[in-house]
Amino acid sequence: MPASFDRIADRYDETRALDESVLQRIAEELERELTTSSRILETGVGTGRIAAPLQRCGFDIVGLDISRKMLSRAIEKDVSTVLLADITALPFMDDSFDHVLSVHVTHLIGDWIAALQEMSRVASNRFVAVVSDREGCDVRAMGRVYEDRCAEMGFEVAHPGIEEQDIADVAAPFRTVHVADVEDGMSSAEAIERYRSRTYSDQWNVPDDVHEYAVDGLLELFEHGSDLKRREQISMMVWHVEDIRKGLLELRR
Amino acid sequence: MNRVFEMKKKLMDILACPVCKHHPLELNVTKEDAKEVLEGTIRCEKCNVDYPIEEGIPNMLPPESRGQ
Repeated sequence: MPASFDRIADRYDETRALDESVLQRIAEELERELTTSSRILETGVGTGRIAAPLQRCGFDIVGLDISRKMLSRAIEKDVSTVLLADITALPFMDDSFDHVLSVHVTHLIGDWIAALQEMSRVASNRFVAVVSDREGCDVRAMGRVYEDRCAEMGFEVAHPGIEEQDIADVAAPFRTVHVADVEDGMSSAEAIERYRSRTYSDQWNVPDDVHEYAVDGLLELFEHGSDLKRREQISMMVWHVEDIRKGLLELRR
Repeated sequence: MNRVFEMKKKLMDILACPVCKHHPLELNVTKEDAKEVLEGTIRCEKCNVDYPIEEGIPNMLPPESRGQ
């Protein structure tokens, strides 16, 4: 089972903030790509930050997650159909949906091949991912320092699965669309606090002593530093489900 | 047909057992309001397993994954 986000549900939206205009841009791009009468499964729907605006655009969305607390937040946003389910054992018949939407999910799944098999089993048309590139921004640089300090202690910080953009190694997407560039900032103190309080899922398995050593490193380097810039380039990648099915067959050979 | 039944029926049309993929599953409602089924079960007769609906959220996790 992937890690549950129950522990972060109360803070998720504030620490993974995308402002309304960006969420609306994502919804508009999806609206351009998919007909609004289509039935969509969003795996890892979380707090409904993507599903809620999509539903307002007229999409028929079913959202699943393994965190009950996250789903409760989605219900508060009026996402109408949510359920607890495991992405590697989906509770749907074959071809139940037109499309599957995956936003920052597959990196959390150790058995990501099983997840892709299941997602491509239950959808008949397209697999859509919204992906972020945060390389080169100050906040990501702080993350690198945290990871390096953990490595010094012999612990590799890593997600168990693969990023959605790396599904391109299984099958080529037929379209990649730039959606938005987000640029904002936060104080060094706030960024350090996010790491100290293990906000990010790849920190959850870091042993306490390693974590403390890594946070000490952040304090040494950044405690009296200036504000950090956060840059995020958001894109949408679209695959034919059939291509992913074929790509998975190739992987098995 | 009331709204609760319509909404759940749409989901029941596609739900399958997460383990054996059996369909259809059986919906048993024990508590509902005007909008939603709040408590009940979704049963796979083939596996002889009840998947609970709690606070309006169906729990379709495979039995061995529940409570983790």
